[in-house]
Amino acid sequence: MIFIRIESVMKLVFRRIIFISISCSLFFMGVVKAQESRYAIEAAFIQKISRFVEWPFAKWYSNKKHSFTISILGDSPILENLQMIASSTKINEKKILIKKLKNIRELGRTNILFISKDQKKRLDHILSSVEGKNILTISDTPGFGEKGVMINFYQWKTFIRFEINLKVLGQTDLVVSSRLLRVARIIE
Amino acid sequence: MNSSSHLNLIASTLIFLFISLSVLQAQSKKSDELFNMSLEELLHITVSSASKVSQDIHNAPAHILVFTKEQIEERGYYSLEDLLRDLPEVDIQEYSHVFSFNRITVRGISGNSKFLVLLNGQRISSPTADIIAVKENYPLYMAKQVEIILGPSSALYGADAFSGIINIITDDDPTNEQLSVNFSAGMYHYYRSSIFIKKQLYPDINMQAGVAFHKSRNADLSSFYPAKFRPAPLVTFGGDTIVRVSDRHQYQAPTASNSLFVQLTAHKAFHLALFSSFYSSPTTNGIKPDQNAFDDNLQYDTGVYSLYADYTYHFGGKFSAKTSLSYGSYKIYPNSVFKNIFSAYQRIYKYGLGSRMTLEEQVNYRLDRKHNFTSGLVLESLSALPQTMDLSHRVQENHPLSEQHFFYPGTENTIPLKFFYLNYANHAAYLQWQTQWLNNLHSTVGFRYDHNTRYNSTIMPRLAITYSPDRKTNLKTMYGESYLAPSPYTSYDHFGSFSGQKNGNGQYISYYLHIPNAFLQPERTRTLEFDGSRTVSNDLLFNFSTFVTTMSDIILRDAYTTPSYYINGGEILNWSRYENIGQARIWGLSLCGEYHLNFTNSSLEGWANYSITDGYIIEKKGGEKLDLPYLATHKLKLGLVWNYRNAFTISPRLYWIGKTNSVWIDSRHPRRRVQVDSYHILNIHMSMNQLFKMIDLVIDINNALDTKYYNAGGSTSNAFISAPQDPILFRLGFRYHMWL
Repeated sequence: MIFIRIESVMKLVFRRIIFISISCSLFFMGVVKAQESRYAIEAAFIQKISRFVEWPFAKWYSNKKHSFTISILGDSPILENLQMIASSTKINEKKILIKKLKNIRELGRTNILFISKDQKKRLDHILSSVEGKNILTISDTPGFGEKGVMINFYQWKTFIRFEINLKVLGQTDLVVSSRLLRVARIIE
Repeated sequence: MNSSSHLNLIASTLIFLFISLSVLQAQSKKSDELFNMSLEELLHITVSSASKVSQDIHNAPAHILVFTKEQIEERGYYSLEDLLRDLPEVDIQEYSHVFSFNRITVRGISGNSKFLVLLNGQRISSPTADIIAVKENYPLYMAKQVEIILGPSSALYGADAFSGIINIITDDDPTNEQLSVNFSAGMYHYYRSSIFIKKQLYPDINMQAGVAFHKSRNADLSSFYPAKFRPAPLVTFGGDTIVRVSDRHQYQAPTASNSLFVQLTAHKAFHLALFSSFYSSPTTNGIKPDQNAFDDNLQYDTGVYSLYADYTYHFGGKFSAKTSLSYGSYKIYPNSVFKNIFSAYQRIYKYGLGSRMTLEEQVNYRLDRKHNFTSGLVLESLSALPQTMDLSHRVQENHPLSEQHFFYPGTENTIPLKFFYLNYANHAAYLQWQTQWLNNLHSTVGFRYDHNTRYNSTIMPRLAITYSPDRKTNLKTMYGESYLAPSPYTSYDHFGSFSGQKNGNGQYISYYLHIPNAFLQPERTRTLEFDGSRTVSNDLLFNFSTFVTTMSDIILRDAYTTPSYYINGGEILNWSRYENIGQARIWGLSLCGEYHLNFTNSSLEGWANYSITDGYIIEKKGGEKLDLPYLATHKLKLGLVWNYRNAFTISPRLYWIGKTNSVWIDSRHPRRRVQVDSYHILNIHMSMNQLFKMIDLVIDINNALDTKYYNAGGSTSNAFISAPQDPILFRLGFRYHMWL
């Protein structure tokens, strides 16, 4: 008897719910946020990785007034995650400054340059622009590591991993801790 | 509108609002928590995974296995079947089914229609749960990730999410513009190819499209297993020789497939997609040579088409919703033809259709950081022309079947064949509540109610508790129920013939016919499961899974000897039909380990899966406990991927499969099945990357040790109990990949 009652209630409900729910669906419009947690993890990695990299002595960098600068070139959801880091933590006792760049020409003094996927076509130009500037380049796009980005995130199973292009890194004065190399996939 | 209608509307609205308090959002790790982790701890954090509800894989109320694009490429998984072969608790029998070629068993439950194949959460397996091949017709060139849920999932996915779910997820990222082309050719005239392009058409609108095909003559098993394929004449049950040995065709069992995938994505929120898949299976596969002809074009051709659109959106901060509309169809092509002892070596044809239209609204609500709700409403309309009885000639699709002069064999063309046209509906609602009681303790409670116009309504609950004693350990206890709808094919399966003789009443006599049973009810399972995983070091993972499943109302053939007058003008002396008469209990344990190691110039990934699955089935009321068919109790699967400087990759995979139960009862031990011998095979995938600019050279070797081995064969009397399997297959090809 209970079973029959449940069934009749469900039948009654269906007719109306479907109409209402579809109406609601079409009425409310918004934008999807996809896979945020991947970028949160990558942002946390960037903050952590920066502690295992030594930047060469430079006047502007030794000045405590200057911030630790992370520039993001192109559009990437990692931006808001990095901004959250900047608001709550420091790197090497320096405030973190997050800069959003539309063009590599806007690149000023920066410690880290995150290159978004949408810069694929301009990657060679971007990498040649940062040559000799001791800027740690980071990306999360398949193939970018081999093309010369120093640290490139990738997904292994459900985890985020990163590869390090030692050849490119070796051409700079950046010093990377062996602890970082131990957990990375090395591209030579 | 009268007061009753008002009350109904108010009640509906209130219930809707209640159901709308529901979730989706994955439990993204809180940023503060992430930033305070060490480098090593970050390596253990999982990325949110997409399923019906996007969530942290560790908190998901299911046993989920995830394969990324990188793994798919490095291991050389061309198709879903390649990937499934590497899973614990999965058995695959080849040359085992004339309709589908292969027969897949997941956690002791055999049948290709007993799990769902989804593309971005939308069904791409048969819409009416027909038996189809899962082989090259489900390629993975477009996959960003494949997620597999082993175990019952009907509490969210409804009918047919019986033994598991496979979800192929494509890459929505509009910036990953690419073109990839794969081609390989090998022994036995094996060819396969895929072309895939992903392109941004406008800002925030991207398109991906791909096509794949394969064609193979397959190995001439008669030359590799001569003792199994001794030349013999084709003789009918009545003793008449139809084809002499000298006039027989050579053995042949060619296969072919193609598939198409097109998807438009706008703002990462709207998808419009088409997936079609075709497979041509030889109706000679796995059949004894003295009971089957090997003429040209003896094929069983099936196609599945899926078209879907969905839109996901957020509103009010805490709500999100997804509206999806999908249409799926299935077809047995009219050129599908058999020629065997059951048809007295005459060509007989098959035909069938099925379709499903689904409208689904999923609403998600995140009440606060600790409580998430997911609810959904599903409205489905289905229709089918279940697989026909043996047809004396090809169906003309443009004409009504009733006008095409199809008659029961042995009735001198006087009794017209029965065809069944089904139109039915399924409506469902589901609700799921996920709670974070402590930082490391989560629970999920949910249920789904389905009302179907063909069979009784169902309520499928599920309950899961996940606990992480530390960041490296995860434990899950789950209870879930699932059901398998009686498919149109099962309910209306109809075969056999009349003898040509008449009884005293002038009725044609049949000595055997299988007749439909329109009143079949769903099969049901209840599963209790305990899973655990432990990250031992940075890249060393262990996990285990144990489960007990109880099945009831299993649909099995039941035989009768009292005369039936189901067909006007005929008397059926012996007949059978499917009934819900079986019950079973299955239990299992799987142990898996994975290792990932980085060297200066190379990386190594290794895995080992061992699974033990056992149980019994009672095939009729008061019957004996029998071994489960199409199951090897013990399975060990080992694999490696060694990547050298991203220039060379080799992935050997070794499978040791213990003795496999066939469907046949061992006459010496009435509770036991006849078993197929254990075997081991080695498959190897190699690629030399960027050998010529953007072109990779790819080598695949199946059965590299050229082992002679057998799988459990078909269930018809003309099938091999131990079906001979393919010898070594060497394929060479190239892969071209270009970022656009």
